[in-house]
Amino acid sequence: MKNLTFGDMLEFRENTMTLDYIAEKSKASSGGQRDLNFLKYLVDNNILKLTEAVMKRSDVNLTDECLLEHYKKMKYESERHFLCRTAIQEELKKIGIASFEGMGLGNMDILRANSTYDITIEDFSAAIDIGLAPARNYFRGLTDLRLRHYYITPFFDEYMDEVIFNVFTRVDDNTFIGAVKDYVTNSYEAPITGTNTEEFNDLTR
Amino acid sequence: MAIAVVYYLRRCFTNVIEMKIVIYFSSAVKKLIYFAVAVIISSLILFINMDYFHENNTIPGNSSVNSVPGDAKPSVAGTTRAKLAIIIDDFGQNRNGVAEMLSIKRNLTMAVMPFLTYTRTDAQTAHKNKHEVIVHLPMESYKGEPAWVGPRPIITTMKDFEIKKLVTDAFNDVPFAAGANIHMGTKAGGDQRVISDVLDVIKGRNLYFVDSRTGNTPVARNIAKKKKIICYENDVFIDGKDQSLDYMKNQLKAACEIAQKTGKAVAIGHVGAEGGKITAQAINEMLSYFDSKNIQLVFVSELGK
Repeated sequence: MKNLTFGDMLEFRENTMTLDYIAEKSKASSGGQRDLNFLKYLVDNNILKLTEAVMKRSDVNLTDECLLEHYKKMKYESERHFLCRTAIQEELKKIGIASFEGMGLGNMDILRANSTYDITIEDFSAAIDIGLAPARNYFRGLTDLRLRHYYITPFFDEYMDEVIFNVFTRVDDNTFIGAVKDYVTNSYEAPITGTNTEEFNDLTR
Repeated sequence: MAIAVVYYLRRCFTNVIEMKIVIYFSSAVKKLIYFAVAVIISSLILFINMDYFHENNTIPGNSSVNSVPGDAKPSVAGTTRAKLAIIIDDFGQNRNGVAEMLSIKRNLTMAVMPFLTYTRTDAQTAHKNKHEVIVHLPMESYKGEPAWVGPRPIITTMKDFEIKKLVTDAFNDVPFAAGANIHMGTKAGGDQRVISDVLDVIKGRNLYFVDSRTGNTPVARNIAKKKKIICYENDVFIDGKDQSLDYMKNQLKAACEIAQKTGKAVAIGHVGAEGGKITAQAINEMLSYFDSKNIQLVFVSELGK
């Protein structure tokens, strides 16, 4: 029997949302405008590809008690966020995919920092954020080449039948790593034009 | 006449010398008595102090923790009491048995899971109630659902720096931690590279490690020995397999037997679904048994002293 992946649960489709809209809904600027500018630069220059995927839920009647019995609620996690996170983890569990909450991902050699994700698939092939996420989460995890896709769903609520993910994927590993490796230095020059370099290097945080 | 005067003076002089000798002799006796009394008093003070420190060891990184008054039992001269360290796992989330366990007035070691809703409050309350606190490190397991492991577990596919960062974050999240043990971890707990990374962080903080021995191939002891880190191994799980009070009491008796044979033993119980209130009740009901068998309940940090 073929091992199912998270991708097998999803139905990919063309974008229906712009990056600005996703960033606004997920409050991507909360971690600093510079990160958000860099994210826009990566997408505008086709270094990061943005797609959309839909996951149909098999059970929308999960109770708080049931989920609290099987999952641990993270510190500072709201009830709503806990329900949404565990609802997705339950779906993953049903097809035999192990997932962990609150894992850090990112190559420390490239960005000297990583980001924590709400859900990480056991083999690190996918990381998922629910609700709010700073812009750095969109690209920091992807510096770890084990991570193939970053999924974010800014709209999910526990009563919804479908979960709509915005998916960020590296178009080319080398180009992506080359683009982000000097990001931590202030004097970084954009190797590919397309986004205003001054805006990109804005250090406003 | 002159002879009489000389004789009289000589007699007086002799009397004076005799008196001086008597006075000198009596003061020497007094000094001897004072000295003897001083020796006896200082011996008594020394004896009392030794007994006090025997019962009142401090823990690394937590020097303000004192022994619980109810635990101060006089040691029998010429015999050493067997030591039993009871660790209670899974603090930080499920409330079953938390209050009951924290109110036990004996030396217990509370293992608190990091990154959870009640992580800080449970660690702080345990410290306030004069218990020892350790980090209950979530680790990847072969058995059980991954969701049971909890947030940010250590998994075998992680890189070295990821494991070290995670362990450091866990220690920063649990205040007053004097050491660490394993939560679940049948897979990661038997991985030499993973355990080596965990122990590197523990060594850097000068703390101790307890291998809960959840897996079939515990590796921590040998690695810790090479790295010169204090490492203990679990001897008995008090609960988990059976929820009955009798089973748990029998497990505690088994731990006592090991302690009597080897001088010390480690037993692990749980708050939450695996034990909780019943485990707390079992420990409470066994306290008089421990005393009758001359078993001293100690913190894990006191096992080696």
